[in-house]
Amino acid sequence: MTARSPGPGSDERVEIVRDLERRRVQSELRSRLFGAPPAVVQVDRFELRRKLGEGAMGVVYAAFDPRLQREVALKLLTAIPRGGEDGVLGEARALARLAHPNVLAVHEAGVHEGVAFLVSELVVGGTLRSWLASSPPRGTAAILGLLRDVGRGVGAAHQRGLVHRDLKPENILVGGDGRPRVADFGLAQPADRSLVGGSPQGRSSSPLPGTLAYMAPEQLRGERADPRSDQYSFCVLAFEALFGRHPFEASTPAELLAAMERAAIVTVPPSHPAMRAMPALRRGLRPEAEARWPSFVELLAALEPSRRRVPLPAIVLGSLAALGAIGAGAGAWIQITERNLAHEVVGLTEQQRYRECADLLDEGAIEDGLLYAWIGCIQASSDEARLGRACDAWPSRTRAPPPDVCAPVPRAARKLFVAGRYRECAETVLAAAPSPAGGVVLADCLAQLRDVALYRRQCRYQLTLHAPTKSTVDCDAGTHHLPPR
Amino acid sequence: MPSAPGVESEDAALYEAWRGGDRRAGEALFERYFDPIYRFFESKTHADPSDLVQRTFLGCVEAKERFRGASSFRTFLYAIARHELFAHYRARKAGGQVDFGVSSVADLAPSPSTLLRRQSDREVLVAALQSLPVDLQIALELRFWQELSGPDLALVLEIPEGTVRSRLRRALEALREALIAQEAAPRLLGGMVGVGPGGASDADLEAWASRLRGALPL
Repeated sequence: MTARSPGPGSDERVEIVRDLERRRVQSELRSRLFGAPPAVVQVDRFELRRKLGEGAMGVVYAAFDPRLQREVALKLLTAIPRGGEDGVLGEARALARLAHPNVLAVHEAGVHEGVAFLVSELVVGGTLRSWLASSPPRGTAAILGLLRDVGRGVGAAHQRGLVHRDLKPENILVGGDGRPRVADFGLAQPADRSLVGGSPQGRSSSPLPGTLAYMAPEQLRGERADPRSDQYSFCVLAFEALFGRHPFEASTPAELLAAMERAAIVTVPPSHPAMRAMPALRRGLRPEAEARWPSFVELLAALEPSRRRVPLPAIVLGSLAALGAIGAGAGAWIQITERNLAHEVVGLTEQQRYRECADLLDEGAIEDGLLYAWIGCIQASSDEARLGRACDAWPSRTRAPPPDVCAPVPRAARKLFVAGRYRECAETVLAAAPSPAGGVVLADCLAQLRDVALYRRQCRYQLTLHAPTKSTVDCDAGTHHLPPR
Repeated sequence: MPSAPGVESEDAALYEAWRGGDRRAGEALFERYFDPIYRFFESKTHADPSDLVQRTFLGCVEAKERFRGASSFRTFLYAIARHELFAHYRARKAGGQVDFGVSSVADLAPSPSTLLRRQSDREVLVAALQSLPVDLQIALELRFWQELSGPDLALVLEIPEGTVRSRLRRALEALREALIAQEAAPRLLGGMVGVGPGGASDADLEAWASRLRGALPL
């Protein structure tokens, strides 16, 4: 790899790191063999204690931070990943700000003698691979729970614009507390094209290196990785974790790529307890990135359809009620179990990005509470045609009662509103039994008219709806309901 | 680097003192030879070499007898290092037979990650050396990079002095084949590309190896 930025080349970096290790071993052995006090070998202020491992990207040490008096993990990068040194440091800073329980906490990043290094929390435990290899074997529920946490970590990083590019069981650290942390964000090097796309010999004869086994097909072709590539890698490792085998049969990178492009996923017994996760994984393993899940939020929701029930956040209820999407009968159905998706919906409605909110919920197995939010967002985006289609689609998505806006009267009134037939719109609503959705359309239509009589009737309509015991006398009094000119 | 006669007698004196219980003499030898011994193991195992280095230095105090035959402490140390290395391979193979004339470091300690990276000349050379049978790798490294003499090499490899020359020739031919197999850059092969097996003279091969050493220190 040609290093454009000034600084040591790849060979020199390797040599600098090897020198450090040699000095560390020398100091350690001198003390072991001759009782000499060990000389401290430092990277920046960190004292190298013991080597934890070595990979294609660099060497990892357990090191001691004298300032904070704690052990940390220190990774020296001998290879500079895509994006260069600045890219690594930039991603490290973004990671340091992320602070997610399922992403390995990065404390510091810097350059020592021209070699980039990352300092992160030291996880005492193992990798996802060793966690899975435990005896007795882990149950499906435990694996799904762990995968969900991993997915949340990756998803949170995606929201910050970070892409992992090399998700694999070895990059997922599982602490003694059972909490997984995704490590090595953005450190992957691009795959060598010649392994799959190059010479005919390369296609047929190369053995299958472990790290390729989790890459998305677009990465194997040497194309750019994006969050959907991470999603693919996640689904490969999730498949392997749940079903105990890689989803594709291949012995060379070329065969692997071919199997991926055909989506030729191996068959597993239908009675397998993890089978319910299969549809979610199948979509994540689609060869075309655009056919996969829009994001980890949906993937995780689909991966684990039945989950502990949590109430829909009040803010969503509030915004939906304001939109008139929630009728009296619907309230009982508003129970959201998928927190991530709900939070996303809340975020989008708060920013009034209703169209995106609607897009987010447009398809998939979404629970009833969020389907009400779906209608609410479509309504708020003022796309009457889409609202009509959504109302028509409602019975195919759930057996819960349709929201009021989908009831015949408000829908008919909306059509009249869109057509500019405001008076007919108002009459249609007022002729039917009062409903919150009807009230919303009525208000929209009346805003286009200056008709005191109609406002008085609207007043009674609202009172019947919200305060049926109250006298309607006040409604006949003033003209204060008239909209300003 | 070949050791000068002065260094050799100094080493011998330090070694005697160490055997007599002088730790500082031992430490002086350790400082002097830690680096080459560390590198010897580093290129032949992917495991942490520290235990092997430690055992080699401890071994040289225990195995006093063998030193008598060696021309220098350094040669003696390499002979012990080679024994420790083979013991390490055997332990890793756990019961399986290892033929060190046939097995290469690449077989014994494969590192799949190297497949993923574009390699520098040095990495290509190291990979080629590691793909040779271990004793051929040792012969080349010690002869050309550490500049051990023929008799010293015979002692380390435990072969008759008369066979060193043919062993080196075999090793150089194998290295050339390995470099070609690794699709090494022509500059690494010097004039050795078009020459068929047996086509190059010993002198040509040795001159080529010296050029390689000059360009790529291990």
